[in-house]
Amino acid sequence: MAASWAIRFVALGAACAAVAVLPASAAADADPASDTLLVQNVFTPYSPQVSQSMSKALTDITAQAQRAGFPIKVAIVAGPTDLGGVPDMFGKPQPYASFLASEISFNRKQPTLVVMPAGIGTANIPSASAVAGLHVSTAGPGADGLGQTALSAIERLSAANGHPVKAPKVSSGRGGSSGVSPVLAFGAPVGLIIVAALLIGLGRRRLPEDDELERDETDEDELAEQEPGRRPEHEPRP
Amino acid sequence: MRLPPSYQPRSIGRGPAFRPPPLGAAARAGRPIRALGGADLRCGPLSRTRFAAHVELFAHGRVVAIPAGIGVAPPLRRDGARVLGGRCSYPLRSSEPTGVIEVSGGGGRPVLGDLFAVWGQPLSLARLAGFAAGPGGVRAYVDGHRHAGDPRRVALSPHAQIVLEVGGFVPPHPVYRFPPGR
Repeated sequence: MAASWAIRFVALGAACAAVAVLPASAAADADPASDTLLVQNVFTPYSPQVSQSMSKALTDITAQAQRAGFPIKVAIVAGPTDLGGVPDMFGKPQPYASFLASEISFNRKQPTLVVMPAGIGTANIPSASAVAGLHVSTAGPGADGLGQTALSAIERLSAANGHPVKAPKVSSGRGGSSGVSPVLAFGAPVGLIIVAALLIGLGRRRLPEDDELERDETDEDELAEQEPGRRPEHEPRP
Repeated sequence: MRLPPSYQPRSIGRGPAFRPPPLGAAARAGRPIRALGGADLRCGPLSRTRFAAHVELFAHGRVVAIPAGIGVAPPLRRDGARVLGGRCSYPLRSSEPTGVIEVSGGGGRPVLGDLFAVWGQPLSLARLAGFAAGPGGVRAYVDGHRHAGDPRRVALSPHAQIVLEVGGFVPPHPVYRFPPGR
């Protein structure tokens, strides 16, 4: 009898010890990308964001890849905020790619691409070595550098898997979907500033010296006082 | 590489119960919905988000999806997975399918029961959306800590990380990094 109790006690202790050393299993779905990628092919970061034109390019190329027989889910992660409840995954693109792919794979394994400033991660993609050595750009505006890296990665991966797709052209600038040339968008204001500066310079040459101008204004005010019907030149016109 | 032990992926369960629709009949019609405190939650023009909380649901170890568009009456304006607006909005709504719940309107202390009322899904100690809780009841966790009692009374407070579960235990995430401005 005593031996039986002793065995039970030892067994209970062993069970408790086993529970104590087991890792706490589970908990997920706290990362926004896993929820978003169930509805669409691309997750783009909250901050900094990608431009509208980059967002469209990413949507277009993934749709194009899907039509070509190379469906792929893409998560661009610019900061820990993009990872919701798993922020420690930031800076770990390959582990996060595996993690994310497990969350969004249902009937079949889901090819997944993750781009972070620290690098590129892939899951369930054959010939993933095609993106080895691909430089991750963090250039702006916003997270467009990361977006451009994703476009290049999709081009390489699709080609390596026999379904080549070409990345759409992305116009620069935030919300650059208007099709306005960057030369016009940035050159025109600079040109206007230069022209304005030249005009001001010319005007100043023609104007009398500052003290003369002051004197002239005073004269106008004095004249206005002397002649009630007269309005000084610098007063706004009715 | 060391990650917190809770970082293990879970996917959404199979079947419609794991993907409840965003709107019940009242919210679809834009009708007032009675809050747990007795006041009416009204569908009105989209107002500024006061704060956000994050809610996760698990049934039998699988994720129950929280859709975008809770608290937004149709017709909805969408941009991909995001719901940008609709005919009118309730003070509790989701614009993304991420579990982030936006709270707007003046004052008031919204609770989970209000969110589920707007959503049109049941919530009690015995039931979590389409799932019966069984003898263990519905378990609620706020910021990683167990909330005893009626899960409908859990406060939706700024940046709260709320987990509801039925069936097998899922260690709750204690924190959530919210998007800027929420």
